[in-house]
Amino acid sequence: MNRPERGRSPFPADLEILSGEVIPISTEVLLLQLFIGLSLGSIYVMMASGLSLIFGLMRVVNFAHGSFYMLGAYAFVFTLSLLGNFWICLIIGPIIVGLLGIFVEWSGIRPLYGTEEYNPLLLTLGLNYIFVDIIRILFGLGGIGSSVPEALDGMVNLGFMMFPKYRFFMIVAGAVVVILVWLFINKTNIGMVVRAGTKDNEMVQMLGINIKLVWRLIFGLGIALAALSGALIAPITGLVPEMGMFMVIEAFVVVVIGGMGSFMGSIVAGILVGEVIAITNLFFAQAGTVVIFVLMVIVLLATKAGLFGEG
Amino acid sequence: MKKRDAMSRSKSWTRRQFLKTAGATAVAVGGTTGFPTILKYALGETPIKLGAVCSMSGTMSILGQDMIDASMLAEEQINAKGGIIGRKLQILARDDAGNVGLSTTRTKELIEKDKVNFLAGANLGSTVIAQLEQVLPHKNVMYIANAMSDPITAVPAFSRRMFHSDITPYMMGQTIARYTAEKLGKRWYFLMADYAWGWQNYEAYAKVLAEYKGENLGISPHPLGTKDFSPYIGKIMAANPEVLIQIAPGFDQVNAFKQLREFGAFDKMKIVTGLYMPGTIWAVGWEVIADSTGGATFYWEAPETKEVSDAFWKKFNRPPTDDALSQYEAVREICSAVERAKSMDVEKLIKAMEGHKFKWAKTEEWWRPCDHQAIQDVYILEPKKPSGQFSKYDCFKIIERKGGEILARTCEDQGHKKDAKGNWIRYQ
Repeated sequence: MNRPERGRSPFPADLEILSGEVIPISTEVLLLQLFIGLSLGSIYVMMASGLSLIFGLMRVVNFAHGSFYMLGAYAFVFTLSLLGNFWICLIIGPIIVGLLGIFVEWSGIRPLYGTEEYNPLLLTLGLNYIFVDIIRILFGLGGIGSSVPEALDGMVNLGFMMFPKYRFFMIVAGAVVVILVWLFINKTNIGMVVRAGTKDNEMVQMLGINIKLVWRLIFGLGIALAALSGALIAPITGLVPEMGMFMVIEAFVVVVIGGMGSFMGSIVAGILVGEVIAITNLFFAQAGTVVIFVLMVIVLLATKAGLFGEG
Repeated sequence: MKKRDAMSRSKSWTRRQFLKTAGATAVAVGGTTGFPTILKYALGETPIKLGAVCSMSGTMSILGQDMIDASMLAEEQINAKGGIIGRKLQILARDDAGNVGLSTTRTKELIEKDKVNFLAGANLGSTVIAQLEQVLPHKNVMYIANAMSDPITAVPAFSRRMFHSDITPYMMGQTIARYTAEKLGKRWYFLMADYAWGWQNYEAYAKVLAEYKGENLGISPHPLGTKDFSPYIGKIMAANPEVLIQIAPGFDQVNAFKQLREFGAFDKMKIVTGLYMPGTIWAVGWEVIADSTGGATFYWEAPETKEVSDAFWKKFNRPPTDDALSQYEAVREICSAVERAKSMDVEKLIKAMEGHKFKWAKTEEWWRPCDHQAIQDVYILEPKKPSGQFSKYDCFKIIERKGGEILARTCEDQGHKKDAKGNWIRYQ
């Protein structure tokens, strides 16, 4: 008996699959997509700048960054269920997770300073799975949800188009946070130590500054930024314990495009990646996921060390 | 020298002595250990083992856990009534996290190490294939797949030792597409998960749309597990369809709905979903899906389902999802086949199941002999404000119910052929 060829599609050959059809794109739609790219970019910027700060100063590749993003979303929704105030919880949630980050640095990463560089990487990779399982145990596998606060519900008229208020708030919040972090790094004494530490850790220590305390603070700040990204995304998406798994990969792509350890690189690359995803999806949705990896390859081939990296 | 020989001879064993002693020892040892084991077997204390490999973690976790819970409910009910042909049923649950490699390993362990008699489960077409590949070399194992998939019952994937309890994407798509074309509009745009299940659904919708002479405005395929759908929304708005057909499982569905509402899409078009995912909808609240239309394979408030729904609610404090129900039916059906065949012989079980009509938790279904698909009804639902016994869970109303073989792909479309004697040709 002749067996049919394995792998042959059981579907009729004449099935018409339309995916590359031309839909007329108006200026309004293009602008809408650009603003969507900005709102996506604001999340990438916060995630990547946290990663970049930690790597730039401490040379720690934090693979748990995605789970801190997830913890931020859960902490926000949990505190919101207790306190009921969106604005307070948007601050409290990331602070709680930032403190957890400080604890992780103190208890787990600090003992590994001076050992092989891959040790903190392996530790954070393990933590990633531990955090996901803890959330599964505490909140269940089913996930939880939240909603946009009344004040940010609906659309805002930007003059040239209508845009969801909450997405607009995400763009503004992202911009404010980035400016505050930039001011902290560039206009404060601690920021000066951070900048100096990025260049030469040993020299800073020789000046009598407790650089390890600064590292701890920056680790907490980087984690709080990831948690804030999670908290901001929580009202518009369902929360599942695994939500940070792919996000951390995307954040690393942004950091690599921007240049490892470059704060400015994270900002530019975050916005760039958001816009590239949004515009690609408008014209060729199938490539929406892979396009950022293609972009990363192109940038690396062209610059060797990312847009703002020091090769 | 002679003395030594005499002594050695006196201590040596004759064959008769050896047999006597060995026999006595065997009786003594057997009396305390071996015979009770044989007796246990005779008394039915050796269970019939059914392995269930489902996605209890990952994006399908709600559905996978529900399927395992439903299996446990079936096990409890069957054992409470004396088991199957005098033996207890034992469910062995395993998590594959929706991962093909893990699904293969877990299934192999269940068959080779735990010696299961049957397998039932899987959440994805790809994990069904992975599990089936492990089943095929073991001629004494039968498998009821539960993932929504068309190709798994089509040639060449089809195996005579596999039955498929869940509905297929094609059946679901045909039902919802016909209702949509007749009642909601004929200019469609598709937002769908870019994997086999999504495209299998699409095939059904595209065929119906062509039949109704409607307009296909385009598709936005998205990766499974998409959190932010905003990049797709500009194109949907630009297409300006009468109906947006949304096809995605799990949290993708509620995320898409949330963000479509955020961008005002619900005010500009009808939103239709191929299959409501109650588990995720309960997690985020019914408001997310308000004003939409979609499909389901059952409704727990319907008379035909209420008894099982109530039992599930009593045991797990929540109503079952459609995946739970089809898994429950899978377990009940294989056990029922053993009872009817009064045998564990695979050939007799296949004979007992092919063409058999059954009604466990839904309206009457039957196993189509050509591809072993459970032919069943599809419900069309609309969300409503929660009420009734199930509180927040009771958030749908039944709009229509369609059923019958006419909704399924034909046996010929599935690649099945008959031989000269009129019997279905089996390849594996």
